[in-house]
Amino acid sequence: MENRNTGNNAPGMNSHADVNADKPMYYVGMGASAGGLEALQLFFTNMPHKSGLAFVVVQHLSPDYKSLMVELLSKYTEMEVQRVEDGMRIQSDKVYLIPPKKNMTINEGNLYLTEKPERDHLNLPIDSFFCSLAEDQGEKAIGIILSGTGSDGTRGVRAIKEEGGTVIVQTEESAKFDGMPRSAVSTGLADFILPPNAMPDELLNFIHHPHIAEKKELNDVIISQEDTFTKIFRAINKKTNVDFSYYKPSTMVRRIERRMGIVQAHSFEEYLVFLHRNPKEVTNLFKDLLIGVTKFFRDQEAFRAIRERVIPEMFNNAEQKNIKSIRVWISGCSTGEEAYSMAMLLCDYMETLKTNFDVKVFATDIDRRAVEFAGLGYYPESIVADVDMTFLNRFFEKRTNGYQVHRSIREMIVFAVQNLIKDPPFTKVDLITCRNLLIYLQPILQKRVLSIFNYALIPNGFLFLGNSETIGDLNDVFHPFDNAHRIYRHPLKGAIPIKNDEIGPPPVGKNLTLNYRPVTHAKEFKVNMNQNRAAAEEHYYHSLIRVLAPAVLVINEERELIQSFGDARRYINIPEGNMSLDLITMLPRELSLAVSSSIHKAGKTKETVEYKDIRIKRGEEVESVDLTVDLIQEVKAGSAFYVLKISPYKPIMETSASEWKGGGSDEFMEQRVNSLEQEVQFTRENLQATIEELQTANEELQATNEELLAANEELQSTNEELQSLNEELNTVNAEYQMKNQELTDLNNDMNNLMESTDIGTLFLDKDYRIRKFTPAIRKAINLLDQDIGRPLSDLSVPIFGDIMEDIRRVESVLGPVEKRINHQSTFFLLRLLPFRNDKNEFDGIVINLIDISAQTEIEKELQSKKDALENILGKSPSAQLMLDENGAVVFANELAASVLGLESALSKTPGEPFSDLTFTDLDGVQVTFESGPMAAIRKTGKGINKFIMCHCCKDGKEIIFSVGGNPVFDSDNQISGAILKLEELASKHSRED
Amino acid sequence: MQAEKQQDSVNIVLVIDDDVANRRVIERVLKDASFLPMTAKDGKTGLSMARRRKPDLILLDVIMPRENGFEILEHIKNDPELESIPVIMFTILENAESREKALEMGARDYITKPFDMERIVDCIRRYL
Repeated sequence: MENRNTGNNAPGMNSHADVNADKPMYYVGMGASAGGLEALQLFFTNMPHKSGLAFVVVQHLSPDYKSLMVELLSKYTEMEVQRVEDGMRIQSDKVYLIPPKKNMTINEGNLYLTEKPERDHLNLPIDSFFCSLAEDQGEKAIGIILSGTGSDGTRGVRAIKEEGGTVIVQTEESAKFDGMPRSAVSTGLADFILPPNAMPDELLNFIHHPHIAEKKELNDVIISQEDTFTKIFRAINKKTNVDFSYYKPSTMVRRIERRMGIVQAHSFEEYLVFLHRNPKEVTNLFKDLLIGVTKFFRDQEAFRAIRERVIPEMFNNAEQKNIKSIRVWISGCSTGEEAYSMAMLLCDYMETLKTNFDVKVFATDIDRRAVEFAGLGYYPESIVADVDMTFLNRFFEKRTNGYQVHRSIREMIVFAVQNLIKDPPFTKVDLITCRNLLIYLQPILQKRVLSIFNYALIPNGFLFLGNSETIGDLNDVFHPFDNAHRIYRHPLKGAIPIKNDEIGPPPVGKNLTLNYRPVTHAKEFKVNMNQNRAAAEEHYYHSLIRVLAPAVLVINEERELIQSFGDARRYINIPEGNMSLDLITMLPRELSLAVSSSIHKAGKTKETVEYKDIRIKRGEEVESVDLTVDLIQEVKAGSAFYVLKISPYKPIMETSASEWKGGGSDEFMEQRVNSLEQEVQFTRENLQATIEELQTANEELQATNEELLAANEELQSTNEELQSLNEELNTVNAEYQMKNQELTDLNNDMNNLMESTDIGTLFLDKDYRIRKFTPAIRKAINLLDQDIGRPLSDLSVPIFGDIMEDIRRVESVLGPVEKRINHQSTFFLLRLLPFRNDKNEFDGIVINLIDISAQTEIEKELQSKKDALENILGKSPSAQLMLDENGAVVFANELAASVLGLESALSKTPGEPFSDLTFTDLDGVQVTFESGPMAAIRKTGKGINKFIMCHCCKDGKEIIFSVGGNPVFDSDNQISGAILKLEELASKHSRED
Repeated sequence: MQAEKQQDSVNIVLVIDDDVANRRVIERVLKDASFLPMTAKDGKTGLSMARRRKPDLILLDVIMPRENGFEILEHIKNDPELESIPVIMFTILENAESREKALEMGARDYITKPFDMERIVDCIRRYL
């Protein structure tokens, strides 16, 4: 095999050949498990052997068996198929197979192997390789998921799509085992879903597509296709209400080009047409643009910082303000992993506190599908790599093919669809996370989002960003708290987000309409007014200044100071605290009162308003001034401004003649003046009070308004919660139904088993009550269904005899007890056994009553046959003995008995030998087993003949026999005995003659 | 007791019987009775033995394959060398005709099987 890196060559170094000549165009990772061999064979059969692609196959291999994959696959492709070795460089038009017992990764186009740890009970080699492939090759990575069970590969698929790669999944129908394909398809990220034999064609079409193959310079593309992009974004916006114009162009363009490759559109315009004609493609493009790979506790170190520093601080803050609730906002939550991670940390921390807090987590995203997915809280097995065991056990429940987040955690979170830019934000939030969302936005949009967060966070709230994100200019509003982990503190109260007039037109697409609030009139008006003023009225005001008054102030409807002339400084002071252009705040108190009421009056009556003799205290002195207020309305703009003239007090000679009552002395006049002044003062104070009341009322209204908004959000969240609760109940219900069905089936099986059995069985519980019985037992005992639960002793069952004693014996011995019963001429076997439960404890008695009449009959028959045989033997005309296998005489027939002088032939119990029957040989030596006929028979296995034995009878008569014998065989063809025939040859009477 | 012949030497008794068990038993009995037994399993063997050794008595079984006892008895009586030897028939046949026939043909006596051991010895002694 060429290019095998052995010995001294560093991995990846090929000293002779040109390294780039056989570098693959694309790296195709293929994940397969059960049923995958067939799919791989179909795939490679249809794959041309010169494609410029390299194939790396990852399978679930058993560590104990030698895999024959190389040989098996080589038959189906002309490409070289080889087993991967550590450090191997990947070349095009070759197939690489993972060896058993190893984990595989890829780096700079080389494959590396590591030992798989022994205790690795969660085996996800496809995930781990695909993630490595995505990171190493980005857009050049292609992931294919084939038949298999489980969910390996699902996470890898997301990683590949996130880095701009492409994913193909086998169709469920064509897969022998559809677990892996189904799980991969459920991410919604599969670009192609095909049967394996169709994959090579589509794959080749895709990579040869001009936009995929040629990769033009990104900037050129953006500039040349500006208009088309604008239209594409508009099409998306129309359907999804999301405006992608301010997202980073590079990512957007690459993803659009990829879709083009998939749908085989040859130009952007063609793609645009395709988009218009196929609404589903809009959805697909939308999904692709939003791809984000998220996982539980992404950037573990950062989450640790959150847990150890941020969360305790948050709770402390709240405690100090005596607020018992925490609000967290997870923006851009995607499929929910981040939100659940945060909720788990919060829950974990709360358990260490003594007081109860009300924690609410709002998790939002623009992608409805992702939010719905998140709400279910159901994740594949691969999460075991990200969630540590204690959390997994505490907060998750194992389900088939995955895990589901516990109810308690899901209840803490409210998932909602929200457009961060357009929709109103949450308020009074303690912590906001927004990770890996800002990087997709152009700076302008980033700034907008951050200012929204500024408004939303409480003072001393926290902001948690993604690893590659920063707060940019807004470092006066967000202070670093933990820079390394991108955690910021928000010390101040945030103002309402910056006004839109600071955002200029977007760089791409000048004709785009921005979906923002229209620019206010103030700016425009300012411009207009300046122009007007410049022309006509300038002269008027200038002369007025010089002649009439020392100070003229011009304010707008909002009482903001716009212009001043003359010695305005006399009356204007810069106030302490928050800066504002509201004139009222800048004037001395007495004057401000007058100004505010006069403006109000002038605005209402549209006439000039004059106040005289306003006394302004300046330390010890008192200055009196007159105030004149005029309303000037700009017809075009439709709004107004006021001109305030402040001049030193002139006595009332020429004016308000009607005020005077005729006649009277100076004294009267003075009195009148005094009383009028007092009235005025009183009115002023009243007015002040009213103003203040109004202000308070206004603030309260604002607060109420905010509360209503929040209440509304909460209602919405509650609604969604109820929905998810409902779904959960449905699931639980379905589960219970299934369980019920299982139980019913089991019950049916049991019942059928019991009824089909012909053995009468009675089950007693620990207290000897009847628990259950089979129908067959009714043949012997009359049991009814009502008897269940009654103690056995209640019933009289003659057939059982003294069964209680037997039962007690069973219980004490914990073993079976058997006996034979004859009841009404039927024979039964009564068997009692202890009943053991699943913990193997004694839990009752099982009584079996088995009808053995048939058996008994057979036994009888056998016995009678045996008797008949013995009869035959017994009456035989020759003297015959039957020996057992040990040579002992167990039977002597009648003739033998009489010849030998025995009492009777069958006096003994069958089988017991005649102990007094002995023989000797001719020399008088007793015949033993070894010297006897039985031994001789056993030795040859055949009969004997002419064996001479002598016997001395009881009466002294001595007889010499010639003995012949034949062996008797049992059912196993072993010698079990012998039949001897005794022929009398000679005898000797004792002392007869 | 009959008159006993005085023995100078031991008496040779030839037993012709085809059954090996019979031969052994009889041999034993004869030995115990201080005779010197010779055994033959058929007539031919027996006759040639008799010619050679000239027994003092012949015990002759009747039922045998090939030649039966009666035929052999005839041979003996026709043989000048042998005809003087006393022959006792020794058989299971216990009918009168056979007995008569045997005696007519020249046998001295006729003993039935199973035999009594003492009686057979007595009988032999009588005819020696």
